[in-house]
Amino acid sequence: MNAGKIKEALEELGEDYVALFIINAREYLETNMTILRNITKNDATGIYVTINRPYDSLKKMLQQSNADTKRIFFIDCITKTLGHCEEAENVLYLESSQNLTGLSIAIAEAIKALPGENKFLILDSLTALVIYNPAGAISKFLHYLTSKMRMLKLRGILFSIGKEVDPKIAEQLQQFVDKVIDLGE
Amino acid sequence: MKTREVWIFYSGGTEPEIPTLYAEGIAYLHENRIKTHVIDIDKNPEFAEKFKIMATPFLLIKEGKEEHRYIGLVDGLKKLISNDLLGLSILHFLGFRDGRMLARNFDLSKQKERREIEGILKEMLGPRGIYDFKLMEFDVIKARAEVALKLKIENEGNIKALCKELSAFLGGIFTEIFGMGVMAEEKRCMSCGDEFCEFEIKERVERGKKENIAEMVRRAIK
Repeated sequence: MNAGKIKEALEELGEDYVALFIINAREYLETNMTILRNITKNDATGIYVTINRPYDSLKKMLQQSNADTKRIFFIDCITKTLGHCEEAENVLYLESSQNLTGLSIAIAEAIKALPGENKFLILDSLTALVIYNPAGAISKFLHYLTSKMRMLKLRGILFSIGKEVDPKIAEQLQQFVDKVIDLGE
Repeated sequence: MKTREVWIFYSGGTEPEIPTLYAEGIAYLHENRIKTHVIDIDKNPEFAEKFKIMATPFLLIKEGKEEHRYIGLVDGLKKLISNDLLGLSILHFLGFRDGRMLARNFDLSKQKERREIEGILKEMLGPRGIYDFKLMEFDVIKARAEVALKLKIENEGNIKALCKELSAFLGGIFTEIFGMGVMAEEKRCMSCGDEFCEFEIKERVERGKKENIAEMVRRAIK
């Protein structure tokens, strides 16, 4: 388990940053919870964009951790694709993760409405986004998203499950993020 | 209740990508506390002998004294993970990726003529139990297509489940062809008495009333 490594990495990143965490799929659950527990400290508020893990499943997972989910707003891009939808107060369901313009708008509006100064955004995961979208669209979206995170001085975290990302996108990502934290080994 | 244990066998020499390709499915098994072993038989040939593994990838489910053996991983994984929404999302993801990879192998993005694509898809889908495939409409500019097909299956009750997987698979294929993200939606189904299963493939747009996102966030986080 990488709890110590994650905590150390987050502390090193400082106040506002954009970081890519490469996660081992088998340790996804524990790694995700550790990151959330750390990032939600000090009354932080945030947006959690889930591309391929339904909110319902995410909620169950987070209930097992001590992360303060009352201060997180979720954008779920998969549940409606599967033909399901269970209304809840802190989640917005989008039709799919392929409407990247719609997703960008939703993220921008949600960030603006978050209360407080201490804000974060998590994108879970890049791996799924790459499967559902062509490389060109992903590059534009990531450029927009990382610029937005910097402009609004957020703590931004992108998850990648394993290293299965298009090499072109991986190369561009190096320029968009401040640090790549590889927990995948 | 019988305890389940899963064994996944692969050859690190000829198919080293297997653990990565099925990482989400394997992670699901771990998360659901199903004891899972992923074995590279090149490094551990004694396991291949012990479990009588003649081909890889191979999936073995042990439930008490019962054993279920699968050549390939997809069918076994389906049995294990299709019971909840997370499992369905993983199967959708795997199906979509499968479609994209297959279309890439056939270099379908270079084909723009309806008849040519129909011919290639017919050839591609035949071995998967899909026949009488017809590409009824095909518009590259609008990134829209309509397909009709028949499924070769033994159990009629399985058609609906198969169509869900097929829908993800077709979405992946046409995302490669159109060079933009599209999804397939089933319009007619053999399980409802229709002669063919029909799918419409297009960009998925937001439906229903437009949410005031800022208002939702303010209401949720005070």
